[in-house]
Amino acid sequence: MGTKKIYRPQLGFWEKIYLPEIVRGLGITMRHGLRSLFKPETMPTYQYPEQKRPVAERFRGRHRLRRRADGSPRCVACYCCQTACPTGAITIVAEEAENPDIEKRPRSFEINLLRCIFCGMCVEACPKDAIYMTRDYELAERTREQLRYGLEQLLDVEKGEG
Amino acid sequence: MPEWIQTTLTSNWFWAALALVVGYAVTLMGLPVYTWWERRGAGMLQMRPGPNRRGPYGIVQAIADAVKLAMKEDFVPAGANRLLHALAPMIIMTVALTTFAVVPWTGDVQLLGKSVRLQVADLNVGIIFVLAIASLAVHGIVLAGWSSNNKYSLLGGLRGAAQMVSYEIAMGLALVAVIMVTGSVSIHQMVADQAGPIWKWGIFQAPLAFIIYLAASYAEANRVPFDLPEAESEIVAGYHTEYSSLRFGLFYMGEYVHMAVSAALMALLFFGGWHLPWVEQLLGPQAYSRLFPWLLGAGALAALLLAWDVNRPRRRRFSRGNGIMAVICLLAALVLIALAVVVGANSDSAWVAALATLGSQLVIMLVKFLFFFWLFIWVRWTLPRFRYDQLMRLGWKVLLPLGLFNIGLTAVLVLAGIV
Repeated sequence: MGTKKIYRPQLGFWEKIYLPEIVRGLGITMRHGLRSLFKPETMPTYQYPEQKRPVAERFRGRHRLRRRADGSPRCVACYCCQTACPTGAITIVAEEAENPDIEKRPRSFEINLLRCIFCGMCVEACPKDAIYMTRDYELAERTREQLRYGLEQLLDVEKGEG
Repeated sequence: MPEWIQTTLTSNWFWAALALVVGYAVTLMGLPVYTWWERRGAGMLQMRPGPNRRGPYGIVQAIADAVKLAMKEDFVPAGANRLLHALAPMIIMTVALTTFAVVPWTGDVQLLGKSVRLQVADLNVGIIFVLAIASLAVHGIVLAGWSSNNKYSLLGGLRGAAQMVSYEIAMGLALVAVIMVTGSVSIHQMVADQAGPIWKWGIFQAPLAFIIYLAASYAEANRVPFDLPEAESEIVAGYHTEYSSLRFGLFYMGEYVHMAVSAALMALLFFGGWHLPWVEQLLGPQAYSRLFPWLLGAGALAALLLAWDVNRPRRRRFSRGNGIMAVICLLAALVLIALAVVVGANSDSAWVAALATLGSQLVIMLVKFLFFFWLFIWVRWTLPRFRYDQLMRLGWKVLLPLGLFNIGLTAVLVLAGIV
């Protein structure tokens, strides 16, 4: 059987009696403590509701549906996103569009954000660039029902880019 | 002065009751503040703010914590020994509080022809009483671990028993050296012996004893780096795993009271208690009463600083009630200044001078006490926990021989007349 040699760090005399090292450690924590006390701006924490952490450019948050120039949804209810969705979070019901060039439009378009894993596959699947993801991540609600976003909420411009 | 005030001021029970009030103030009433202090201090040492939302500086968080604890379900596990399960936290708390009876907060002061001081009971065996009572605390931990019907609790209780018994010996040996130097076992006498220049303090008379005592008292209080009985990364929460609600609260409070006792004893035995070095040589025999207005002034200055700081926009942004706190601080500063002026103007009156002496000695003692309390917190958030074999090796093979050696060394030094 082969033996494995483990090399332990060699401690000097002052390290072995432990006390000076304790004092050194205490000095380090106290230095950090005093800096936090007198220069709170150097602390790496964010005071969350007031200060928001900047999110990445490509951050995937809540979905949005784009509109056409006339205000109707750009979505043609092709079910591509619903098919691509790995969690089955998207439910589309299609109906005939008034404009014969478009053929179909969504009667209802629902995303269950409790199922959504924010993978972005729906965005990749969309042939019309109708669905995309905003950087809005503050999605807490009081009931599960409120997190099933319908067509109006997904088209809502007021809810913004996040 | 009416006669009833005189009889009250010179009666023993009045000062004992007052000492009781001080004792309760720094233990039970101080508890919410300590928990807040520990959480805030931990945050600062780890470069984060800690609880800073509820009330100015987050101080109301302490009340929120207490209410949360009290509202929880009081749960007793199946198969637990109900009597012992209920008894264990009571033992811990009672033991921790009892020790405070012999802690003196001020020295002797001549008031209206009688010698008074702030101490509940001046036992002539004070320090031995402390050791005896503190060694009872192990029963609480063992019973809690045994009665919970939980293997982690049992492991915690076992560890606690072994640890506290081991370190008690080292602690006793360390104190023997101090007793030899001061020539008394009454805590009050031991502190009185440390008056004068700074090298009369216990830490300079018996430095080795202080180091041993420091380590042993951390082990006795089950604090980091000796918190093996409740090591959360190994045995859930150790002996108080199966405790909830206020019964857990009792363990929690017991730990803090234990820390408070240890901190008070460190200040008393090794750092001169209520004495400041050289004041008597510099300011004459009435040094402490002449110091009192200045201490009050320093307090007023601190209150003013606090009133300014709490109102800064940075503070106001995250918490409410800052204005109220600023007003309270300003009022406190006013009261302190008024008191300082009154005391300063009437310093010729013997009884005002006596009360001022008591006051300044109490303040000095409390400042030292708070420093050692902070040391507990500071050490907790700096050092990692010992392994079990390391703990035993340190206790039996390092601190115990060191304590014995220290007794011999101190004996030689005392005989040679050096200390």
